[in-house]
Amino acid sequence: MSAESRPELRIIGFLCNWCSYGGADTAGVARLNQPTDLRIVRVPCSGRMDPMFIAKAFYGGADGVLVSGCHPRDCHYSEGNFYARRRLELFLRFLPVLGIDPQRFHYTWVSASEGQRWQQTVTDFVERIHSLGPLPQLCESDPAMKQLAQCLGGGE
Amino acid sequence: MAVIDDLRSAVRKALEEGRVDMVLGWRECSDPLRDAPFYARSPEDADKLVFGRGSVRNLAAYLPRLKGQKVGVVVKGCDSRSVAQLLSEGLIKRDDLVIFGLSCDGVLDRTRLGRQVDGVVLGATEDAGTVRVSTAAGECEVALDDALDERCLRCRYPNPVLADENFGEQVAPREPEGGVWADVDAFLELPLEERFRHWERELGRCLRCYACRDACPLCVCRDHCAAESRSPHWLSADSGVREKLLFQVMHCLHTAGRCTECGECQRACPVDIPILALRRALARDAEALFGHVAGTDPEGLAPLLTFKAEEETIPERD
Repeated sequence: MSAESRPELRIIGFLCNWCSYGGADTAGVARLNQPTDLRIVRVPCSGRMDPMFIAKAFYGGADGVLVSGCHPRDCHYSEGNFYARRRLELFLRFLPVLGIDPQRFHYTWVSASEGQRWQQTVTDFVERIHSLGPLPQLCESDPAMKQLAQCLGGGE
Repeated sequence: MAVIDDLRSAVRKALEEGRVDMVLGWRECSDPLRDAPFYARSPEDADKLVFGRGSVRNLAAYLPRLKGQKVGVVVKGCDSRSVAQLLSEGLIKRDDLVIFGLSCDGVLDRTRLGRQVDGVVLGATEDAGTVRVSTAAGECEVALDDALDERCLRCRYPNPVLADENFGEQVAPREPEGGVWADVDAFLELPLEERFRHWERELGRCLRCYACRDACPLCVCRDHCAAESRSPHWLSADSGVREKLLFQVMHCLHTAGRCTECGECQRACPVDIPILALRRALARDAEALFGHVAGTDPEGLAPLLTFKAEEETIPERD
């Protein structure tokens, strides 16, 4: 249950195991207030982020997606986040083409000690998504199947 | 006429000398608007080769599966980019390849032409900027620029970027009104939700036949395609538009920074979904971000396979 009065939105956060997940944990241990709309998925490294994960989240009903990893040059695997940065930036620019507001996606760097920074990041992002509202839903039924059903005389 | 004769004799010579086991080219077929892909295996076969407005198919798509054989391939300017991209990724070997490059000033687009004439096209001849099309209903004329593939109207690489032998006179790149990316810009001017609904509507027609994937010269995962993987189960058998959209996005992302916008995906689509636009938008962004035009540097590395510690074009995240 949400502790807040407003309805929750679905926001997915992909956090790197070594920095940002630790950062979120630090924020929790320090009892910093955080919005409850975020569902966290822990990934081994931001370099593991296939932009497909983000696309799948959006088309699966997420209203916003946040990716956070180690600061550049701080990667546990030396260069994972460098690859991630290129991919995520390109994907960010691809979103408007798909008709998804690029504001709904954010990627950033939070280290394990930065509990405060995590709190700020997640609060700002959730605020932003709330101001945008829910993502338009895809139509449920398949128009081709509907047509087929009508042709077969099965439709309503 | 001289160009095709030069090409034929060069191909014949290569086959006679045994420099190649086969040469991929085009030959005439029953379709008046398209030549068929053709494997010339003997010197006599060379005489069957043709080249013209119907030589549409990007033959580079056949190369990865012919790996290990000595293959000659006939390429237009745009096709040569696919070859260069395959080379840069090590998917084909330069030593096994003989490239016959042709300068080209455009190919016909059957879909585009079909929208402008009544009935099935039975034949087409060209004369000074006009295409005379015969259909069952009679003859009609279409301006050449309305019959060419839209890609050709903004072609930046009419001459091969790499070739062992070049044929035909060099063609000047087109300078389209509004620039090379005018189509992408125009699409991005639509309201956001309209773009979202555009893809929902267009891809609602998708049959998930995966012809777009199979026609793509750079889709080389073959039987390891994530679209058909059951573990993880990226795409379900659900018939809704979501899986179709996801598949397209997946294909775009897998070819991001590699796609040479050859348009084979869109051409292969049996229900005419304008999916090339997605890839073009990504190609433009890859060019803006990484200064990389896919398929122009056979020695280069695709931008997503590398990085810089300091990226000048990517804003710092504070």
